[in-house]
Amino acid sequence: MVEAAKITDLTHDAPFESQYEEIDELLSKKQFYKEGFITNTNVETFAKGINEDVVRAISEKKNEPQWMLDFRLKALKVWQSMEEPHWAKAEYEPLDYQDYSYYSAPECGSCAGECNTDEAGEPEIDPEVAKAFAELGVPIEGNSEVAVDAIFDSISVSTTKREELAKLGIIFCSFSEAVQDYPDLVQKYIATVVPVGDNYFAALNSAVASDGTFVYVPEGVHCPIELSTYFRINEAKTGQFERTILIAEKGSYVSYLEGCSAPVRDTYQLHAAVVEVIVHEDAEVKYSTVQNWYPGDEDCHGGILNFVTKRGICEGDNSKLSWTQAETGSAITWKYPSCILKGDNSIGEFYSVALTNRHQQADTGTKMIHIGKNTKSTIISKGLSAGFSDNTYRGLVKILPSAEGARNFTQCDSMLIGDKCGAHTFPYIEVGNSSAQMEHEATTSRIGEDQLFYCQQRGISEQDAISMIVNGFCKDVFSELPLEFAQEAEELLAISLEGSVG
Amino acid sequence: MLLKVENLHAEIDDKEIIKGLNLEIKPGEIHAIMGPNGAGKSTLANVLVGRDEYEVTDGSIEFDGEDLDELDPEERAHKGMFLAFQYPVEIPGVSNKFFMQTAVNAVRNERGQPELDMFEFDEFAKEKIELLDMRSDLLDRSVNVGFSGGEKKRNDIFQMALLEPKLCIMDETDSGLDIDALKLVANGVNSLRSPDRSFIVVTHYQRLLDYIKPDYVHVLYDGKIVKSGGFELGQQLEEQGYDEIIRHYHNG
Amino acid sequence: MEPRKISPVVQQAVDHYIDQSQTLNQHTENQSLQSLRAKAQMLFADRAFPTQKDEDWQYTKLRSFTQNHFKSQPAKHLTLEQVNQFLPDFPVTKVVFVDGWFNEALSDDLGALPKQASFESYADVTEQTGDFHKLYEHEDDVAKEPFGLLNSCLAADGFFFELEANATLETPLFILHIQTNALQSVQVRNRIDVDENAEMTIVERYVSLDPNQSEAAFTNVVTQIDVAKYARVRQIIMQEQHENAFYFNNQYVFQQDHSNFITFFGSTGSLISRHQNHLWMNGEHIETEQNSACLARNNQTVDSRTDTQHNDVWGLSQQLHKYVLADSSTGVFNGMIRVDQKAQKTDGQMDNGNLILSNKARMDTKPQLEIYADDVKCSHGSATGQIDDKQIFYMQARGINKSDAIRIITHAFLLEPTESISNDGIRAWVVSRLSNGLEKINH
Repeated sequence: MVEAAKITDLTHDAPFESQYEEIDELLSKKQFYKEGFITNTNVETFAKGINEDVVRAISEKKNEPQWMLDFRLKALKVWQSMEEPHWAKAEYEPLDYQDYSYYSAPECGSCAGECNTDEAGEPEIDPEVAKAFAELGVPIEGNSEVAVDAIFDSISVSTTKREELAKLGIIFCSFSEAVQDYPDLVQKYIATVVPVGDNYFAALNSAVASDGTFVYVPEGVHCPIELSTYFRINEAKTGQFERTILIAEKGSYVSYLEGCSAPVRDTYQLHAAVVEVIVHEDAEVKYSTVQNWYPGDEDCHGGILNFVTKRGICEGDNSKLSWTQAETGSAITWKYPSCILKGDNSIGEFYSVALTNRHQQADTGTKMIHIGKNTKSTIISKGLSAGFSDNTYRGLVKILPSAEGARNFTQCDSMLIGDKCGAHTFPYIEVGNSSAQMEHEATTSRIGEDQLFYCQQRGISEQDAISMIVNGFCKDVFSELPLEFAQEAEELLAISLEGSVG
Repeated sequence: MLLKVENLHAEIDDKEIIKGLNLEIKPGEIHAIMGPNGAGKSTLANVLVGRDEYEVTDGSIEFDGEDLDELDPEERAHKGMFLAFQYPVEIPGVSNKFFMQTAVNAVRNERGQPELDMFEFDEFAKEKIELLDMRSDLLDRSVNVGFSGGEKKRNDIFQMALLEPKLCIMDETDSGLDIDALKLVANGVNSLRSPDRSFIVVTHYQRLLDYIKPDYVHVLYDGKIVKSGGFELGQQLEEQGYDEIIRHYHNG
Repeated sequence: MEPRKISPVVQQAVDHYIDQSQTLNQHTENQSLQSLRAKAQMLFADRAFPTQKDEDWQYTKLRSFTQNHFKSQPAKHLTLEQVNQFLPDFPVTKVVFVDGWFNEALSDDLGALPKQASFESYADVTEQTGDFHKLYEHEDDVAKEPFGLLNSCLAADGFFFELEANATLETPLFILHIQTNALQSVQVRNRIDVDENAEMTIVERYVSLDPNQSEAAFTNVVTQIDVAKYARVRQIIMQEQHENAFYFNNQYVFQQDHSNFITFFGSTGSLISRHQNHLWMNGEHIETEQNSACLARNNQTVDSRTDTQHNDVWGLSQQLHKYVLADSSTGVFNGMIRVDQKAQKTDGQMDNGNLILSNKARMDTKPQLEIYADDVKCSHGSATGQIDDKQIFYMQARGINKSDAIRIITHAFLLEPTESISNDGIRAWVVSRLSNGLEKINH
């Protein structure tokens, strides 16, 4: 059995100050957030505030059945009885939830559920919205190897390759459509992995869920292409509350990717998503995220507050769920993609790179709950802190008494760039079965002038040296991302360290 | 003349460490620089390769007929100066191979030679590994991470072999090396000796010089070279210590 | 404070050793040494032996130890052949102790050591009133360990070795301890000084003349090692006493600027084997490695501990401790890395891996970090488990039978720390000794 790793905490005032001056200078150069443009289109946005009427209005707008409305109203009550959590290692002022709008949609797309999509094929997309996605490089025309669900503020504006997928029995549509078209499936699975009252933001999401993606892969089907969702928050002062459900039936396989961005705004924007993944016997799901929400200005004002609950259950024997994430954006990230390993021999994986710069704060990690026999989990977390940021890994590995022969491997590395940032590691290890094998490794290191001079003396410029060091540090995780995403993640990392990396 | 240092004055944090130093090195020569702690040995090594924190306040450094004055460390590296560090630095996550391929190509670019691709670099590196009798997994490991002190220093010698510099400065390479490791490092250095490659061996003790025979030995004290001689000067210092020379310096 | 309750068995043992110490003092002329021992007796009478309630002795149970009353007895006469069977196959300068007594006749001619090296026996050192302190320099630290304190009461032999500045001792010093008498109490006190820029290798071996002896024996060693600036010391210790013996060793190592110390502990013998390194890194740019390979079977307990104090900048300490535990054996690892506020840029690495071959074997491991500086890199890893069935099956599928597969995996696992031994000859010898121990294990 393994002793829980002691907390490594490198505080902000290192004594070797002069060493880091130059790095700090490099890092303080103005960052370029290329996704920061604003799309001007006619939108329908609800007045700010949240109450029962708003929830009813959202539901009505989406033409939802009674059970969905009931679900929302129940969640609203639960949420109103809860308190905003502040235990994460991230500081923020309590939010004024009445100062946000809980529904915003481009006008043409707002007809989801009213337009007859079956007849017209794909609904018409607002040309401005289409232009925005084109600029972001999201292939909403269906001319790519990847199936895409594009979500603009509160609603899904386009889902490509649906027919091709339908031939295989795969359902890939927006969450709103799923509520209309597959109510049985949605009712069967919603809130089974993340209960309504699981946490404050999950309850809020359940009440005001805007849109999201619904994926269903039937028994024995190996999904031949990557499925992906691109989330775009455009309106100021809106919250995005997407709800994603992904179900992999017995013996199936699917790889799902999500990406996101938002324009530059001067007030905080709220993103509180809930993702539920259900993996049945012998099935495998690979879930990858490249998160690049707007991090805010120099002081991170106006950035996205990213409070996300992602959880999957390996329901059946021999099932596998793998989370991979590259987190570079948001002012505050609060996110713990988790696996409940219920089926015997099931496998959970978590690969994460989290980069914080300037005043960003990230508190992220995972939970691996081992219930079934011979369940295995792997956690590889790489935290990079630069500027004045704080980056925290928080993870729980829990072996229940039933989990005979369970295994976990955790590797948790932090790298500090400069001397004004912080890295924190909080591993929690609970072992209830003595046959469990646990391995935990943790390191913290700092890039300093010493390393840069060493590289320079070998003929490598300072900028190339930083980029080389950072990419080297992250490569274990990037190798887990689908190819095109890995490249995107590397580029993102470079941009987020803009000023220091060419 | 490969290196010509004239009346060099250098300081760090406004404190003068090098106080009028002269040194001339011809291609193929090996010069040892010895001296007690605090004499300025490491400062000299760092000033020569252009470390930012050190400021040259007077005098000149001419390398291969060119004044190095405002050149960045990487530019000096491109011109063929190499420093084997007293404490080689760890770079986690970056493999030795990737690191050195980047470095070698940066230098080759500068020399107008074509870059080496992965396969060519592999071949090239393998040759050097065999030449230096090193472990073949060296390339796959992260730069100096988890290396013992001896391994780090051997890795620096390996890098020296790859970069094929004109001037190799070895800053207290012997410290921390046991006798077996010392012999390996010395053999490596000896195998890299050539008529157009010069060495500056900076050391506190004599023992490395038993294996790398210098042509000249200089004693550095108080930021100046206070005595120069042949190989036998090193042996004399080992037996008598620096006291005699220091006393002579202060009285003279 | 309330006086602690001491069981009658333990009280008898305590009385016995105090009695032994008083007898020893009657034969000692050096009055300072006498009073030092008398002070240790008082402390020992007060503290007695630790119990399982003491956190540091939770897993290493002393009941079987305190039931015996070990005595200091004269050494048996051994022939040179009997001694030489324990020599390694690389050249060494041999220093022989039989039942804890230095034996000049069986040792190599120590006068033939290079002129910069000097060897003095405990008797030589303690005869001179002024000099005996060299062996008792850090009594306060030694007294913190119960068996260190007992050693202060009872130590009656040992040595002081010094290597002068700039000297390199190319031939390792081989300290051989042969245990022969039943119920022998071996109490040894040593000190090794390696001066500036000097270099040496020490190999220590603890063996029993009769590996099948059924009576217990007790070896208790305290060694101080001073590694001066720029000095380099390699140490290899093999503990292979018979399986009813008790082995306790406390090493106090003091390092200065730029010095380099690498120690390896290999353990296959003794009923209880407890080896402790107390290490002070009192200077800049110090490098240290502490590794161990511990093997236990039947009801053996093997306990290896390190306490590493980084007290200055740029220190590097590395550790790898491997355990293989068979039958009903117990393994204990306790490692502490303390990083002083002053010790910026410290790099401390501690790894512990344990292979459990039986359901009845147990491993208790406690890697600890205590860090007061803010720019440091410290890591520790620990893994405990049984051999992976899949590995075995994979090898079977390639035609290797199951017991060979288990043997290959176990060997590779235990021998990993030996890779830090840079001298090929010494490493090969250590590997052969550990392999010998592994052959005895029932899979």
